[in-house]
Amino acid sequence: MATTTDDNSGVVATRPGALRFADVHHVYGQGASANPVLGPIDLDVPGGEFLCIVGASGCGKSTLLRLVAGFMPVSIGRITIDDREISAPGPDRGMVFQQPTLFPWRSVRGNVELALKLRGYPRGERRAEAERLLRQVGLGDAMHRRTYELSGGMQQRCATARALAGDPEVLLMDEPFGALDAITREHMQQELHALWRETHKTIVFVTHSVDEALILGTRAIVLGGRPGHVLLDLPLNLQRDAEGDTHHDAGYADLRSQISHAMDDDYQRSQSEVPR
Amino acid sequence: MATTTDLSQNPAPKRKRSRGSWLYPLISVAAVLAFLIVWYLVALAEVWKPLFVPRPSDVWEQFIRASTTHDGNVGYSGEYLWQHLWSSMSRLFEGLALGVLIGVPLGIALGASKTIAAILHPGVTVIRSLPPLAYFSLLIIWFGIGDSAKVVLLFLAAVAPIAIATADAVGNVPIDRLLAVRSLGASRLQTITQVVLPSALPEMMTGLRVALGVTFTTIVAAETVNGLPGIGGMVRDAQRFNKTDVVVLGIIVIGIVAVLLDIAIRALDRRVVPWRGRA
Ligand SMILES: Nc1ncnc2c1ncn2[C@@H]1O[C@H](COP(=O)(O)OP(=O)(O)O)[C@@H](O)[C@H]1O
Ligand SMILES: [Mg+2]
Repeated sequence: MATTTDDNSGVVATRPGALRFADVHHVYGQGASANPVLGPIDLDVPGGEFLCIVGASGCGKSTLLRLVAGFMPVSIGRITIDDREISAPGPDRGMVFQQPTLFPWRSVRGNVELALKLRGYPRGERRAEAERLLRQVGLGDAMHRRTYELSGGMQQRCATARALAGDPEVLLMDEPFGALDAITREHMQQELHALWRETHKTIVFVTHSVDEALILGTRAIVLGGRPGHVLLDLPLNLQRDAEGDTHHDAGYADLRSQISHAMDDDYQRSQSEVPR
Repeated sequence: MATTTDLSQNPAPKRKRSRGSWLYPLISVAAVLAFLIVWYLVALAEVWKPLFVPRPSDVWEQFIRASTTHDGNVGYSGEYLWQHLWSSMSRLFEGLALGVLIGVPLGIALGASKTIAAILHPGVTVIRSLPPLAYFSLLIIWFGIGDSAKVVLLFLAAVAPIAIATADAVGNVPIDRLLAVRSLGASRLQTITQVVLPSALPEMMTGLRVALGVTFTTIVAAETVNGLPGIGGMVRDAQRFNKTDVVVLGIIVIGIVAVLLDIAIRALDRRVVPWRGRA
């Protein structure tokens, strides 16, 4: 929620990390080879939201995330974070990719320290801060390991700690658990949710798993069509049980089928289109 | 060497290594011994004249002579064997060092800028394709028959594989790795020093290994021109005087050094890029 009531004072505070997409389009290439992949996107993401984006592969999920990260300019429209226009990568956003993009020539802690250095963190405080971040993601015992010795799940934890360097308001995650086995994935989901509960950062989480979206998100959008746009936008207010699971909630099945239907319709439509 | 304690901490490689770690080196040693025995028997039976196949004992005697002062003569042609070897190796490392010093920045430039690549690629490709000895004559005309021509030759032989390996590696850094460092706010220079260069290290090490092989064969051949002191020069000189035992001695030394250099560069590779093939 963007506005929460502070229990002590009753003052209404707005959480940082609010994203706003206004008539956003993206086109890859130019002239004859121009390929419009995204747009129009109009979205309001309040600070502190856990937004899950689902959609078939190729619908533009990664493109949308890359635009928020500032890796490339939008073709049309604007994206703002707390009313500042996004034009380049910035310390207010951290990114986690599907494949862990760790630097194998550095230790686990070295990776996070480099991130802090690039974020302009004072030299003397980097080590302690890196260790704090690694403990936060459950890698307190693996700080001195080489990254290539870690399991896939531990590598993604390290990548998450690295993305959290410099305390960004927004965490962008592009199918971060897509390459993990089912059990690891489940644990990572619970941990990420706990991290979100502690920090209440805005998280934009791309997945092609409807269940993952329902387990994690406070809101899900389905991206689809050509060029990609928002087909469905659903608030998810599912109750969690002691294990943090949401599928015991009575609303789970209904939300799941709504999202699945939107994706199925999109799939049917894409199959009847003449391939370009 | 991996000790038992090292292995017990890493049970997976243990199973893989336990057989190969002693069996295959043993086979190699056996093969070398078998060769020496055949050589000895062939020489003993005088199947061919000693001018063609010297006896192992003659070669051993030349080894002793080349390594000591005998009847007032120092080593071979006034230099001990190790001095010949040292001369060759210092030329080789000079050329190789120059090759790395110039080849790495050149490779980065080739990999980073399409314009620079367009300008320099034909030249680099030609240098790589030509056998180094093809332009040796030209270098002798320019630099004389002294050491400079040989060092320049070795430099040219080394620089092309190093530059090309670096350029390929720099162009093939995984895109997400670059985006990851960009998302952390790295400048262009920081991206190059913190990510592009370390990412390229495995291929650069491979390029260095290729360059070492090329320079090694080149130095031996190049020393046929005014190569004394030098191991190639020693072989060439001995050939002129039909001292086949010295020629064979030189060949054996060259072979042993080649194997040692390869072992050394592999060890260096494991130290420098322990993540090779694992990340
Ligand atoms: N760098 C690029 N250049 C050109 N086309 C691209 C590029 N990246 C992605 N595309 C195209 O844009 C579309 C959307 O891609 P992407 O955002 O990666 O989809 P998703 O992440 O949902 O699978 C795809 O058709 C893809 O082929
Ligand atoms: Mg994608």
